[in-house]
Formats: sequence, structure tokens, C-alpha cells
Amino acid sequence: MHQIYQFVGGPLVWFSLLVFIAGTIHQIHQFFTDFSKKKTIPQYQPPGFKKQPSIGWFSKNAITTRIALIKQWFSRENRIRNMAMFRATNVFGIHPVFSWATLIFHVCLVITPLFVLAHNLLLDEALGISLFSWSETLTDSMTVVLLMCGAYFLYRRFFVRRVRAITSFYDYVMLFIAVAPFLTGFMAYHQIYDYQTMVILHILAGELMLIAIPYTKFAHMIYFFLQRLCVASEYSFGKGNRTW
Amino acid sequence: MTEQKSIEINPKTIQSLLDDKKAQIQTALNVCAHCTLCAESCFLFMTRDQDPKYMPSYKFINSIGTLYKKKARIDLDTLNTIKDIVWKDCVLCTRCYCPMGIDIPAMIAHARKICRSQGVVHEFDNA
Ligand code: HEM
Ligand code: HEM
Ligand code: SF4
Ligand code: SF4
Repeated sequence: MHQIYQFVGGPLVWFSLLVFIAGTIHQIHQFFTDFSKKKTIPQYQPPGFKKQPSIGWFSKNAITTRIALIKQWFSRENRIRNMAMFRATNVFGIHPVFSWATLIFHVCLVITPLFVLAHNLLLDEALGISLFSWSETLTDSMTVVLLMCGAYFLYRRFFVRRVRAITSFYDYVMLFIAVAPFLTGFMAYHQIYDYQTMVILHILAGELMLIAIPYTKFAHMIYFFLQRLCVASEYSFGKGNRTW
Repeated sequence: MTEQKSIEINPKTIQSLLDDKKAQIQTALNVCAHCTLCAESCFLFMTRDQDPKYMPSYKFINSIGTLYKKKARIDLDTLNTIKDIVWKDCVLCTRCYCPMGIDIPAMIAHARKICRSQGVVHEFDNA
């Protein structure tokens, strides 16, 4: 048992981290090379069109106009209209429960492991550096919250018609891989079942997840941000001319 | 229909057309989280009682996805099903939006191209 622990908690950790980092770099590289195509978007120019000189971002005129626009946006009539627009067009308005569940799920998924006390102790032991830790009560609660969101996703996969339509066995496996580190970490922390076995399973589950990120549907962690950066004017620098 | 039966499928053409966009198809199928968030962005989904078969992700997974998985081993029946999906259920208006950035219309358009290469096309005058 001890030897298994040494192997799983030693070389395998570095291996999975290596796959995770190298794979992420590989995917980012792919996105910016010939694999993703740059679209040329033709710009329509009316005949006789001359580009107006810019009034500048910080000129007095520009600033007063902007303040007036913001005031108008928040005026009483507009608040009602804005609310209706939000309900109709924003994903938080269309699917409030699902959107909040997925937001909370992902925040817990990414943040919790960084601040788990045991993780930072092990990091400190191995490298002599670590992040600060949050209280174990807090990380434990976040784990429970994540598991509940995971259960909600499972419910959705089973019972919501449109989700069922595109669900395959692969989706259940991936959902399981995503929550397994948390399930096993929770069981280890509460000493449910044999602690040693649970910790080994936990480490294995964590490593599996890390390895899976660049090359399975978890790659959305990378593409989500790359893509968002390239969408025209959606809080980004992009011109919207890159797709794959 | 009798004419269609005589169509010979040419696996080589299908394969080479798939290879043309291999990386894009692979990534699209891989990255799709099967989250169904793209559903509301398709007007056909919204106006057809939210029938899942009009969901953009459903359409590209069951057209280009099937082609990609079966590679050249596809039979005429499957090709005909794909034909119905890519011509009858999607108008390629390119309005669908995927938060992961999957270019769904490009995938469906490519499935149309592959069908076309095999002579399996939607007959508008018989519709
Ligand atoms: C890869 C190497 C990893 C090692 C060596 C490791 C080790 C540990 C250990 C020893 C514990 C403490 C159990 C206890 O309190 O007695 C723990 C808890 C935990 N781990 Fe990991 N872990 C790893 C990866 C991961 C990953 C990748 C995740 C999540 C994505 C994760 C999530 C958690 C959580 C959420 C807890 C706390 C559970 C709770 O308090 O309810 N771990 N881990
Ligand atoms: C940090 C960046 C990430 C972002 C912005 C992100 C974003 C998203 C979005 C928008 C969805 C679709 C909505 C949903 O189905 O919940 C989703 C789904 C999902 N994500 Fe992430 N994600 C990230 C990282 C991760 C990681 C690291 C994992 C796993 C290790 C993961 C696992 C999942 C799973 C399992 C689903 C599908 C849930 C379901 O069954 O419906 N995500 N993600
Ligand atoms: S195509 Fe995009 S929005 Fe639609 S289910 Fe797949 S990941 Fe979600
Ligand atoms: S391109 Fe097709 S799938 Fe996308 S919104 Fe238009 S009809 Fe729907």
C-alpha cells in the first residue's frame, strides 16, 4: 500500500501536470496556427464614404456624451425595458437555475483545489512553496456545493428532453471524472471507508482529471477563453475574424 | 427514389473531404460540452415547439459527427438521414451561437458538401 502511495503521489503527479501543461500549450498553439482559419470579413464602404476623424476617447465632448448615455440607460423607463431584454436575451435570464448552477460549479471546481489545506501542505513539502489555505470548513462546504451542482447536471442529463437528445455514455463518464476528485477528497477528509485507499483513489482521480483537460471535452476550459477573446466586441479585443 | 438506389458510395471522396477539415471536425466534436446552450439561438428550434432535433448541436453531431465516426463505412440509408438533417432541419442562416466557439454552420455546410459529392442531395422540387 505504501509503495502504491509513493508512486501515485510522486512521479504520477508530475507526469499528469506535465501532460496538462504541455497539452494546454499545444491546444493554444493549434488555435493560432493554420488549424483555425482567419476569415476575411469584407467591409462595406458606401460610395463617397470618408472616414471621420476620431473625436478621441477622452475629449470633453466624448466624456459628456458617454455620461449622458449611461444616465439614460439607467433611467426609469429604460430599467423596465432593460430587465425585459435581459430576461429574453441573456442566458441568466433564459436559464437562471442552470446558469447559476454551472457558474457555481465551475468556480468551486477551479478554486477549491488551490486552497485546500492538505494540498498546500503537500506542495510546501515538495517544492517549499505554496498558496495560502482557506479553512477546511470552507473548502469542505465548497466541495459539497460542487457535488450538489454535479448531481443537478446528472439530473438534467437523465430527465431534460433536449439534453437527453445529445447525451451519450461519454458525457456520464466525463461528468464522473470531473466530480470524482471531489467525491473521493470528501470521503478521505471525513474518513469514510478506508483512509489510505481513499487518498490513493483521490490522487488517481485528480491526476486523471488533469490529464483529461487538454484532450477531451474539458478542453473547453482553453477554448472558451480563446474564443471569447476573438469574438467581435464582446468585452474583447477581437475582430471576430477567427473560427475553427 | 428509384434513381437514388443506384447511387454508388465512393468512400475515397468522403475520406478526403473529411481529411480537408479533420482538425476542425475533431475539435468541434471533442470540445462540444453537450450543454444545449446553443438551442435558443436557432429560430427553427424556437418555432418548432423546441423539438430537440432542431438543436444546432444535435444537427451537427448527427451529420458531420456520424460521418466522421463511421468514416467511409457509411451506407446510403445513413447518408439519406444526414441529408434530411442538413437540408430540412437547418437553413444555414449562421445565427447559432456556441459559447465554446464551435462553428456549427461550417460543420453542417461541410456535411452538405460530402452529401453532394455522393449525389445525395435534397430535391427542392419534390419537397
Ligand atoms: C494530483 C495530486 C493530488 C493529491 C496528492 C491530492 C491530495 C489530497 C489530500 C491528501 C487531501 C486531504 C484529505 C484529508 O483531508 O485527509 C485532499 C483533499 C481534497 N482534494 Fe486533492 N489531491 C490531488 C489532486 C486534486 C485535484 C486535481 C482536485 C480537484 C480538481 C482535488 C480536490 C480536492 C478537494 C476538493 C479536497 C477536499 C475535500 C474536503 O475537504 O471535503 N485534489 N487532496
Ligand atoms: C475555467 C474555465 C472553464 C470555463 C469558462 C468553463 C465553461 C463551461 C461552460 C460554459 C459549460 C456549459 C454549461 C454547462 O453544461 O454547465 C461547461 C460545461 C462543463 N464543464 Fe466547464 N468550464 C471550465 C473549466 C472546466 C474544467 C476544468 C472542467 C473539468 C475538469 C469542466 C467540466 C465541465 C463539465 C463536466 C461540463 C458539462 C456539465 C454538464 O454535464 O452539463 N469545466 N463549462
Ligand atoms: S455546440 Fe456549443 S452550445 Fe451547443 S451543446 Fe455543444 S458546446 Fe453547448
Ligand atoms: S445555421 Fe442552422 S442550426 Fe444555426 S441557427 Fe441557422 S438554422 Fe439553426
